[in-house]
Amino acid sequence: MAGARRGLALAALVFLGVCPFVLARYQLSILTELMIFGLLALSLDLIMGYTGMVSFGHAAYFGLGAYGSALILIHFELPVPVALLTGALLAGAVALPIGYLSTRATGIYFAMLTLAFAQLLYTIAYKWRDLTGGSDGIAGVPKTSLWWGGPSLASPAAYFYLVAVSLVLSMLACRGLVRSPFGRALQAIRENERKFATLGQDPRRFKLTVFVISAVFAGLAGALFAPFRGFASPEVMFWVLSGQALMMVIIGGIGTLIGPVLGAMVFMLIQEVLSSYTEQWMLFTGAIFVLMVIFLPGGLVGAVRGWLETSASPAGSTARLWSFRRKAERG
Amino acid sequence: MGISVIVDAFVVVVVGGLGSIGGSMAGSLIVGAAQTWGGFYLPETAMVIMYAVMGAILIFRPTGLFGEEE
Repeated sequence: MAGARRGLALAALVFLGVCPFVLARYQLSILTELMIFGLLALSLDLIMGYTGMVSFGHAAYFGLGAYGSALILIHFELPVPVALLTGALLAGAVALPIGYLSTRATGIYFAMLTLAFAQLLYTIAYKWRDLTGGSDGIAGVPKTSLWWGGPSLASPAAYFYLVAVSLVLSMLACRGLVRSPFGRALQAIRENERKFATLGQDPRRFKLTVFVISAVFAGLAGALFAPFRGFASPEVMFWVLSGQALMMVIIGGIGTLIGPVLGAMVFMLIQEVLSSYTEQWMLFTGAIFVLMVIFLPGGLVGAVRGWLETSASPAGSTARLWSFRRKAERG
Repeated sequence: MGISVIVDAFVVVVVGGLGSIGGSMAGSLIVGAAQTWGGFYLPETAMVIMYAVMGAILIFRPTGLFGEEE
């Protein structure tokens, strides 16, 4: 199992490596966009899947990253990594007070608080014309160089590699995070916050920390997005994007690392393909998502895992049935 | 289609507190009044007044006005 996973990861890396040579310009730009949203979904899964905090305002940190990087690139023409760092840190810095206030509440109340703050930030982005350009946003964000005097990132292939490397490094960082003692603590909070508190630790400190870390990754995704599209507008902070990020995580598989990335890709691809065929594409995407949530409750990753388990051992199907029944008994 | 109503209804229920019907009625009055008066006296804030009210209430009462403590 572990060997197969390593093989898959290697195949994915090779695939990413050869993409710029075999794909057309348009396909390459779609794939770049998919990876950026994959990173956003991954960051949301850190708090949603691993800590059990459903945020309904994650677009705000994506948007903060986008505005931070856009402003840096427009006004100072610094290398892109500086802009990425600025965007990610800006998102993290704003997430700190918001997280401090939001983690006082739990469950749906937490979700609504994050939504409230996200809408607040959206309104600021919309109204602060001097800084953000209001509803027009900031246009003409340049893809500058990799470092001072270094290679230009203006070509689609170069930017594709930048996004791919950012995504892979972020996934590795998240993998290390969820396997560390800190990550174990997060999963303990998800399973039972009250029991965790009786062990003598304050769950809020852990929740606040992971909230900020998650916002940093979301900010990184946004910071990659602004130069990719060439603009940052209030739309990237709107709650619709927060909802879409939730859908991506659910489709891909909550509480896994590869799931949200795959979910984002499937989510965006379904929309892209269907909207090119029919005007009523929302009807079909809605139906597909409903069916996926009903029939693939563990998301894409959950479905593949279940399929691997049953095909690996003849007793697998019985085992799955039993685990299903145990779950049902637990309620 | 009605997508803004979904969020409005959510806000009302959460302000009042989950599981409290009276709370939802109070929440709807508070949110409605805030939106109408806020939009009239401070048109700049019309977009965000509902969320600001909800945020303020949830910060001081994390389970809404009449929600039960978990």
